[in-house]
Amino acid sequence: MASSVSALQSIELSKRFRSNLALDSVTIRIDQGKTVGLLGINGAGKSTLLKLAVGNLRPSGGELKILGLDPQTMSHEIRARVGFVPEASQFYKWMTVGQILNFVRPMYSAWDEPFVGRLSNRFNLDLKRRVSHLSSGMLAKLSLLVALGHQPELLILDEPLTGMDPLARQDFTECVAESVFRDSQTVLFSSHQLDEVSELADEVIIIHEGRVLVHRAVADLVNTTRRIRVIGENLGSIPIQADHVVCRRKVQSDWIITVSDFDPAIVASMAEDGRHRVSDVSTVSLSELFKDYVRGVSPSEGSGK
Amino acid sequence: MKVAVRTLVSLTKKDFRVSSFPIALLVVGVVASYALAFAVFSDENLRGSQPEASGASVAMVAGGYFSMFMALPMLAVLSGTIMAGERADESIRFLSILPPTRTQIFASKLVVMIGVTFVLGWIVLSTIAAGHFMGRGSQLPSEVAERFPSLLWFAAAAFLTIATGYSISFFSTSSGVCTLAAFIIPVGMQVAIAFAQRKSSSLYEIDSVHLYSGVSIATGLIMIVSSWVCFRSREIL
Repeated sequence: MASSVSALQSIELSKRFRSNLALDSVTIRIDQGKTVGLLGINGAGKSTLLKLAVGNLRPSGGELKILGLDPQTMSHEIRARVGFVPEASQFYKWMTVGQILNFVRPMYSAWDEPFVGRLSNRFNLDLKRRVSHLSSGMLAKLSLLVALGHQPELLILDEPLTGMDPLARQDFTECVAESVFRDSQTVLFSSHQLDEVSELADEVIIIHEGRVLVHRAVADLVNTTRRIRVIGENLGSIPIQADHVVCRRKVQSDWIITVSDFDPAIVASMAEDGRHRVSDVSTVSLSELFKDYVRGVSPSEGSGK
Repeated sequence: MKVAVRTLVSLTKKDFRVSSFPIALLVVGVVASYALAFAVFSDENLRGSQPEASGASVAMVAGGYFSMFMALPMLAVLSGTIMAGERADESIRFLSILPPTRTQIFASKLVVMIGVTFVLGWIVLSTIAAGHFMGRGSQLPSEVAERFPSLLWFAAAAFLTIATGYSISFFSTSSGVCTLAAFIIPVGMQVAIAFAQRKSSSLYEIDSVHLYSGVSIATGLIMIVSSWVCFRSREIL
């Protein structure tokens, strides 16, 4: 599915809600066929980016292209090629599951009825059941069913696992993974469930206060990031390039420094200058790494990069 | 093109279902108007004055005009609910992630409102015409009709009611507020025109019905176009 047209490309994209800058000069490119996890704390700007992608919001500045199309002028075409699972599904509560599917089916030229039938069976979705009687997990599954029914080129999931029990979460995640495997879809999903992100995603984007802190392949990021424990009250100057320091914080009498693109020579040079003693160098999980990236730019967390 | 038509049909069906309660109210109002007219203008009541006019012919004419009066508040409920309800329960967010354009969403609701108004108008006009035809030997159906505002006035009032309810719903998610506005503004327009004609001698030269119709249709069109422009450019948070 490799294509010269990227699934999502933004250049200096900004979105302002009155005085609040929700997205600040975001430049990212997501190639087709990738599964990308969008991580960030509440209010980081994840949902804003996703709503901009389907044309529900208008950018305050910069450029955004989805599958090569401008969401401001071609949002209708984009929504016909994109599947979107929102954080909270807002179906017509008086409709049954079957009526929802009958309602959306005519809107897509590529609606795959046999696939939808198989998937609804797999999800145990009763077509005669009213939407108002569905649990939040079942609503999320119905959302996924509607989003996948037309074989979208890009699947966007906005916190889809919120409020789901572990079994429903696993079912949901497996279904997304199978769909990606079968159709080589591009998937962009925001989540707080870091385990699922590390399981599904090829790449991860960490976003904080509207800015992209990092956008890298998950494996690359996890393999090249280390936590170094330095003994001593005063850290002073350390022989690490400032832009490689993700976060540093004091824990009891030691300093813990999280370093990206870790080079073992750093530890040797710290030992040589005699001012710092490294007690431990450890790998970092995606979950801890996410926290360190956010701590690194939050003054209240005492990053002091 | 085929998908666009299928989409519009799907949206319109949904909007008819969303509006089933106001449409049911409208049907009840119309039926009640005719029932009342038939009760009042029975053959028994007419026999003394103009025996050549059948009660049914007069009742059909009167019922038609009664039902138009009854329909105006019902159309206010319909137009005030059709968009505001969907914004209030946030189901508009579901539509916002599906392929339909804003224009299709806007148009499907207009189709429902204008469709309902046309069906109502067709029923009313048919029965009034039939009433006149059946009572053609008598002056009574015409005398009854003259006691009501003209059909043009009703058409303009219905259009302004629909336009107001629909347009206000782009600024308020309360169906009640939209319905009230859709009821008050056409009435207020009539009061304002009557007041202006009292104050201005030159306005007396213009026929009140034509003035009201012209102003109402122009106002309604401006409201509909403005709400369409507003809806097209609005962000869905």
